[in-house]
This record gives sequence, structure tokens and C-alpha cells, in this order.
Amino acid sequence: MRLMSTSWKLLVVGILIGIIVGSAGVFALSQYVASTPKKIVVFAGAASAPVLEDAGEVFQSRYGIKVELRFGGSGSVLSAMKISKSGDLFIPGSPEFLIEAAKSGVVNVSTGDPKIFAYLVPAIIVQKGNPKNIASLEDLAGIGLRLGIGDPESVCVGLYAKDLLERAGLWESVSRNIVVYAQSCDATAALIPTKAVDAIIGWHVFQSWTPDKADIVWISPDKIPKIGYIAGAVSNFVQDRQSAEAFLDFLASKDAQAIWARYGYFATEEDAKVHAPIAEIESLW
Amino acid sequence: MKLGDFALDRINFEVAGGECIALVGPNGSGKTTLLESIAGIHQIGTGRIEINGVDVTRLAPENRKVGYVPYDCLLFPHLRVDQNIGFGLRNKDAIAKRQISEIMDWLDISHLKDRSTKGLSAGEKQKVALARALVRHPDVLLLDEPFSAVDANSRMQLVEDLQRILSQARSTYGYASVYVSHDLSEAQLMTSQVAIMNSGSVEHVGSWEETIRDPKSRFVAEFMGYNIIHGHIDSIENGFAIIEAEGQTLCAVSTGLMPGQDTIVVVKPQSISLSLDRSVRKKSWCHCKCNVIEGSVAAIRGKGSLAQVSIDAGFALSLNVGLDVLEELELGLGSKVFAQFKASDVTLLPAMTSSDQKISISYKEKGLDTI
Amino acid sequence: MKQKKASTFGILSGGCLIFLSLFLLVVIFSALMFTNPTTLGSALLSKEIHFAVALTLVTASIATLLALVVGIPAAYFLSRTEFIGKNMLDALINIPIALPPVALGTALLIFFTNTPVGSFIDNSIVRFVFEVPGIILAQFSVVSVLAVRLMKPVFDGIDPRYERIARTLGQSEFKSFVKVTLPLAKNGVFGAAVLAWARAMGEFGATVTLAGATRFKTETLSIAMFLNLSVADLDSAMAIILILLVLTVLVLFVSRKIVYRGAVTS
Repeated sequence: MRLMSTSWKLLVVGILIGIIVGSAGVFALSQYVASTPKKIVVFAGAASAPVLEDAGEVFQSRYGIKVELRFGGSGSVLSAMKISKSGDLFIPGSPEFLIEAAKSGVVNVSTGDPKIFAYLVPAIIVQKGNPKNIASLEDLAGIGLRLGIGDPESVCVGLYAKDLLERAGLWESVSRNIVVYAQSCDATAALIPTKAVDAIIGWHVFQSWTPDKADIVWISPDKIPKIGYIAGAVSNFVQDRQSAEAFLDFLASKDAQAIWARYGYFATEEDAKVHAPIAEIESLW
Repeated sequence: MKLGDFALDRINFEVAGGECIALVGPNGSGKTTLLESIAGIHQIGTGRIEINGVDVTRLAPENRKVGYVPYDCLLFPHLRVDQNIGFGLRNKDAIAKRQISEIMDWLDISHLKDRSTKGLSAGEKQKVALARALVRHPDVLLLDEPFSAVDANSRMQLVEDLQRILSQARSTYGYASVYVSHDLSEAQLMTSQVAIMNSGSVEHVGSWEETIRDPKSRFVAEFMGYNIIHGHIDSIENGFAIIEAEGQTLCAVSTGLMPGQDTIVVVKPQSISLSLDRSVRKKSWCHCKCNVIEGSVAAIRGKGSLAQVSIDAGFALSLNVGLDVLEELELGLGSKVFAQFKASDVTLLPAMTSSDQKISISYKEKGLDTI
Repeated sequence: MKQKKASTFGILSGGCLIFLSLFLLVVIFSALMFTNPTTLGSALLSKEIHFAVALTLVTASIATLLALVVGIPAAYFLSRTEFIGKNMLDALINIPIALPPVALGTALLIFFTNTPVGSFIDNSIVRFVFEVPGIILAQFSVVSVLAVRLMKPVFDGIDPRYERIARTLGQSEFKSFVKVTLPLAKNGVFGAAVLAWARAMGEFGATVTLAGATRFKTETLSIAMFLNLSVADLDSAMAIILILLVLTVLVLFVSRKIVYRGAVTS
């Protein structure tokens, strides 16, 4: 019996030591791996997801700097940055969140011009074939319609949707039909291909993300008070400022423009204003 | 007992109202299974069970009027004693309450009324289980080894109690009872008839008297504890068969067996008397044809106030001897002794055991879920 | 029989237990220490949190009740009956427990929006997608199977002979189940119910996918916490953690009391 307990002792101690050493080793290794090759962590609103993913790959192959992307609702990722006090770049889906980020000290927009990469126009996205025959913003108040928008508190396009409905005097009537407030741009966009709702108010590019499952219904120009744009800033928690700024530069470059265009984003204000001539643009200064 | 198949033979016996039959047999012979089949706990494949003239073969247990007292009583642990007893009664009204207290009085367990089932003695549990079964006035009462869990001291009292209760119940209400036991002497006290089971079939049914006197098969004889001797019939003379067995010569009243046949000689232990010489000991035997077998004492075992003596005479003979006789004859291991028994006390059985062909009623134990 | 010196093995295994407990306590308390009492206080008084508390209590209780209504007979049947394919069914039933709740919620969402049967139900009978019934359904899906898993061993542990004896005493299968099996299973079933309820209270993945995260409509406590985090409202998030802790402790405490009063061994 004595003999057995000794071997048991050794076994248990051995295992524990193994666990401790093992975890310490893995931890150290991960830190090492994380710190040695160049890497930037980008917190981004999902509005620009497809482009950032492609651009990140190109950037990495060109400059050898790894781009780690964290997507979510623009507000959600901002909160994540605030709580974790980490992140190199913040690229929300609309400027309002950059302003908020500046206010809460996550970014500093006074240094240099924030680079604007692409413009977004709010539009109604419906099921392919428009089975509910939605032609205008007013139609969204129709009885029995089920709608979805982004959560105005944490999603860029949600904020814009609420704003434009309010300004058109339609918030009361249309919001009655809103059954879901999605928590990010991609979640909002996904409501249509999964047939979860009849229509959403989203960015115009959402339709080009799933063209065979969605149709776009442009909102009449007089009802679009504001168009959005995607801009980014280096965060105050940045580890490698040079690499971060390099990526921002890249996103504004001609090469990247092609990527933006490929996914249907408007490259210039003029292109966007075709659909929303009287729209304002939120200023960052 | 989650075995796949257990075959019960064609079982044929009847119990009249007011009568009690003992169901005995070695362990594993199927006594409890048969009892549970009568209760409806097991569905039988082919065959019939009739209770009070009603064919209950396909009826669920709750529709047969049986009262079942299992060997471990199975009192419901979450109910009090009086609640246990009243469990099977349809209403819980004043009439029911009266019935419960009446039966508790009758069984002398009124003082246990509000007790929980924990901490009851084995005897008390028995009575509660019995009350629970009887209060519904079943047509058949099924008792499974009531005294298996009771210690020897309390047993006597309990046996008397149960005898009294059961005979009262039978005469008042006229229900039939089936009493399972592996203890023959106990079973004899409680019942008038016996059915002996062997590996799933009923070998023999009859009154105790009949069975004791005339065991019809080797199995029954062995079960009753009789001596079994293998022998060969040499000849028949004057109505007596002369049998040769292990070098000894026996004679028995001839019963239709022919010379040249092998036979099984059955000698009841109580028919044997011992002596130290060849002279016939018992005076009353002098005019009868007697067997006097020489042998030596092989073993002596104490059995209370009697000694069980085994004698080696080429074949084994076993009998119970009073301690006084043992002393008188000064018997010890190896002592030479003569076993004497009358020819008329010997039963001859054919060597081939006549068991019926297994017209088996085989079924799978499925509990209560299938009908 | 006290040993003079505790064995090394005993110390080490005891140490593991202490480590786990400390781990939990440290996580919880450091989270609570993060916010100050005043902001926490005002957060606790918010209407939104009150709504979330009420909604969560109601939906979790209904889901648990439904899970029991379906789960008790299912567990009993699974325990008592042998049938072809039983092993397979047994394994099948375990799937929802192994499946991530988000996957379950997504499957339900797709069912109601993309299949003819599902859309018919959702459009004409009960609206589940992005509505409160969806919360109940999501919680039910996760919890019902858990309940069956927990209750089967309870019925396994009750000698079927009690039921048989009850039947010889004139009770039908159903009656003997109700009068004998259930009372004997009382404690086990209750324990399973409490665990199921706690799980339902904390359900997030399936709920948020099927019912959405709509404030003041489908906002359960865990969804409220999620929403608060996404706007970096840590005070409200903390308030919710506090509420959930208190509720859990209360329920566990009360259920223990009830079990021990019953004085039936589990």
C-alpha cells in the first residue's frame, strides 16, 4: 500500500507540474510568436468586412505584416477596444463612431487627416424578386411586414436607418414593423439571404454581398439626409504605429481602390451623391 | 432477472376456493416466476390462467383480483403503514378507513397505524404486506416465501399467526391461496396440497399425504429427501420383486415392473430402523418381508434433537436417529450397523424419469409494458 | 479514524478543489470590484434591467415546466423500456447537449424561415422568429434534453417491482406511475428541474439567434448583458452579473432546503 501511494504521489505531482509547465510554456511561446513577426490588430465595423479581408491578405503578402481583423458592430468593437485597452487600428463603418472613439480617448483624430476609403449609401434591401413589392420608404410601414435594421446603439447602418426614418417622420410607423435589431452589419445583411425578415435598411453594398438572394430598392433621394463613409484611425493603444499607418495608407491607395470598387463601394463622394444628392456627410473635424 | 428466455412447462393445477396449495421446488425452478405470472406481472405466451372461472390470461394485473405478497414485502417507503394498507382501495373515504382499521385489528398491528415503514420488524412488515393484499378481498392470495427474511426465533410465532390468519381468511372469504416455499416442513403446516416444481415445470401435484407416501418421480423423491438407490430387477417371486443393487439384495412389493428392468428404489428415511445384528428389531415387523442391509456408518450430523446418520452399504442410506438410540447402539464413525426396512415401505420407480415432453410455454420477460 | 498526517494524495486532490473554487471566486469578485456602488446602484434600478429580469424569469420557468412535462415521461420510458434502436435514440438525445446552442438556434431559425412546414407554423400558428415564444422555444430545446438526461438515472434507481406490486393492487400503469414512481422520484426530479431552470436562465446562444436581441422585447438577462457590453456599459453589465449570482444562489439554497426537508435520500 505504501508503495502504491508513493507512485500515485509522483504521478499526481508529475501531472500537475506538467500542466503548469506546459501552460507556462504555451503562454510564453504565444507571446513570443505574437511579438516577433510584425502584426497589426484591426478593430473594424463589419460594413467593410469583405474589402478589409482581401486587402489584409494583399498587404501581408506585399509587406510581410500580418493583419489581424476583429469584426463586429462598430459600437461593439469600440467597446471591446475600450474594455481591453488594446488594438492598433479602428475602422468603423461610419464616422460617428470615430467621433465617439475620439471622445473616449481611444483614437486621436487631430493628428493628420483621417483617410476616407469609401462611401456608403443607405438603401432598402429586399428578398430576391421583391415579393412584398416594396418600392419606397413609406412602403415599409405596410401592415404585416417584418423588418430588420442594425441596432442603432452599436451598428453604423442602424444609426443611419433610425436617423433617416426619424427625419422622414416615419420612425413611429415603420419601427412597429421592426422585429429585430441586428448586432453588426453582416448580421443585418444576413437577415435577407436567410429569409428571416421581409426587408432591411442597410448599406447599399449589402445587396452585392449576396446578389442572388437579395435585391436593392434605392430610397428616394430626398429621404436620404446623410451618407456614410468608411474611415480609419490609429488607436492610442497602438503597438506598431508605422505598420498601422502603412495599412491605412494602403487602404486609400489605388490598388485598394480596385478592391473597394469590386465589392460595390463608392470610391468618391460624387459617385455616392448620385443616389443622394442632398445628403450631408458627417465631418470629423 | 433480466434473462432472455425462461421456459415454463405446461403447468396444470387447480386450487379450489378456500384451499391452499404449496408451490415448492429447488431454487431456480420457477416458483416465483409462476407466482408472478398468476399475478399478471409476466405475460405468458400460450396457456390459460383462470381465476374464479374467469379467463384472466390476457388481463393486466390491475384487472385480476389477486393479492400478492412478495418475499421482501415491498412496502411503499413513501407511505405510512395505514396508507400502504389502503393503497389498493378505490376510495379513501370513511368506509375504507374502517376496512383498514378492521384488518389491522384482526392482524394485531393496529399499533403500527401511523408508523412509517422504516424500522418495522420482519414480522411486522409481513403482516402489513398481508393486510395490504387482503384488504381488497382478492380471489387468489399469492404468498412468496413469507418467512425467508424472518429470524428463527420470531419464526415460530409468525408461522402460528399466519396459520391462524390464513385459515380464518380462507373460511370466511373462501379465496384460494398459493404458497411458495423452499422449506417443506413449513409448507406442510400451512397447506393441504403441494405442487412440486422442477426447472420450470410442475412435476407433481397432490395432497401432502399422497405425495409423502407415494413419490411418483425420482425428482420428487429426491426433493423430499428420500433415499434413492439404483438397482436392477432380478426376478419376481410371490408378488415381491428381488432387486440387486451394489451387491446387496433388496426386495420390494412388485408394481408392474418386469425382471431385467433397471429400477430406482426409494426408501424413506423414516422407514429405516437400525440394529447391531441381523435380527429384526421391531416386533411388529416380524411377520413382514424385511430388508436387512449391512453397512457402516459413514457420517453423523447433528440436526437439533436428532442426528442424521449416513450409512454406506455400497449405496448411501440416510436416516434420522434419536440421540438416545445413537447412544444405545453406541454408533460412531465406521461402526458396523444393519439398516432394516419393510419391503412394503419401499417404492419402485422406473429408471427412465417420465417427464413430459417440453411443450414449452416460453416467453420473454418483459415486465409490464406489453400486453 | 483520523490519520495523524494527511496523505500527500489527499493534500494534492484537496488542493485541486481549492484551486477551482478560488478560481471561480476570484473571477466573480474581481469583476464585481470593477464598478463603484453608485453607478451600480443606479444601474440596478433601470427599467431595462427590471424588464429583463421579469422576462427571463417568466420564459425560463415556462420553458422548464414544458421540459418537465415532456421530459418526465420521456425519461421514464427510456428507463423502463427496451426497444430496438434504443441505443441509437439514446445517443441522438445527447446531441442537443453537445451541440453549441448557437447551432441549435440557427437550425431553428432556418427551419422557421426556410422550410414549408416551418414557415407555415411561424406565419400561421405561432410566431417564433424574433419574438418572445422564440425565447421559450430556444430555452426549451436546450433544457428539455438536459432534463431527460438528468432524470433517466433517477428512474433507473427506482425498483420497478414497486410499480408491479402497485399494479397487482389494482392500479393501472399510469396510476402506479403517479402514485408510486413519481413520489419516490420526487427529489431527483426536483434536482433536475432546478438545474434545468438555471440553465434556461443563462441560455444565450440559441435565444439570441432565434429571438434576436431586441431591447424591451426579447431582452433576457444574458442578452441584456451582451447588449450592454456592445455599448461598453460596464455598470449595467455588472449589475446583471450581480442579479444572476443572487438569483442562482437563492434558488440553489432554497432547493437544498426543500430536498433536505423531504428527508428522502437523493
